Amino acid sequence: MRERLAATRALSRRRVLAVSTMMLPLAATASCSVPDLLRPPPGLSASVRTLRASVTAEQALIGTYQHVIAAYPALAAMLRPFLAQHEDHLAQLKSRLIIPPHVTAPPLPAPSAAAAPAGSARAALSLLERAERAAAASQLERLSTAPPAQAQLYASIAASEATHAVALAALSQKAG
Amino acid sequence: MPGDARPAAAASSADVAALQGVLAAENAAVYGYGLAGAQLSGGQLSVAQQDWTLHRAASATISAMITQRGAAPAAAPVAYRPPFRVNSAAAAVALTAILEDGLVTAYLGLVALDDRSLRTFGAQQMQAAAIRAAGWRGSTMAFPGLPASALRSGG
Repeated sequence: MRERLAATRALSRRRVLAVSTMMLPLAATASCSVPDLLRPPPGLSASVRTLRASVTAEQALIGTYQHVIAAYPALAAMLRPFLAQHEDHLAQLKSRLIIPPHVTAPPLPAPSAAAAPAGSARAALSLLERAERAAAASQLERLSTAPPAQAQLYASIAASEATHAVALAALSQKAG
Repeated sequence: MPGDARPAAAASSADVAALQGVLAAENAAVYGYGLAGAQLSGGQLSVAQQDWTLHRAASATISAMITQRGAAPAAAPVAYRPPFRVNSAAAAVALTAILEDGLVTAYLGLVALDDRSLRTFGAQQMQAAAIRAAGWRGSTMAFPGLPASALRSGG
């Protein structure tokens, strides 16, 4: 029994030595990446953070439209085409939002509460016009850090929002 | 930044190519608005004249931007062939919308460049052209300038 134990220990020592010898080149190669392994996983890239901000902003804009339509059903027919285009924007933005599996992304922030109902239909249209202009301006601020195709999507959405703002201004004048 | 590693000459040539595309679209608009104006009257003619003046100025601006980059602006063709006969006010309005759509697409090319100032300039001009296009067409679009192939289906 004692002999068998001694033999097992000797075998274990030999195995450890053999394995250690085999691992030496690997350890040497991997030594420079060990600190990388110890680092926390990388966070979201700037372009993904920008995309998430754009998604949140688009959701907020959609929420504002829904809020206004609920408060002023008479405006629904006029506003639904714009709302539908925003839903298209959101779908395209979301389709590009791919979080790498090794990254833990915090959940998208909930859109901020929609603005308080405006005092009149005209005021509600003005509220939407301002929201569209602000959204278009924000999209332009996202251009500098975005990859080319993403920048083009932001610019196209901004152009769409700019046309909405002009159309809403005209509707607001008519409503007055 | 990926663009910083590129040789300056290559970046400049991409900028010039995109600007030449914008210049061609602006020159087409100058010619096309002239054609359209002949069929328009009243308020529509007034707007078309304003837009024609604006496109002439834009053509000069873009030519100067190309020259500043050490290249020669491409000369405007003597004439353009419109996509259909412009022999009515309705056809004239349709043509102006198409010209502005072409400008939105041309300026979209600047937005893909590494030069941040050209990106912003392109995006601003896209908005202006999209607003004019929507004004002539009477409706807005979800993705002005973007071809359908750039959009993700089911997205």
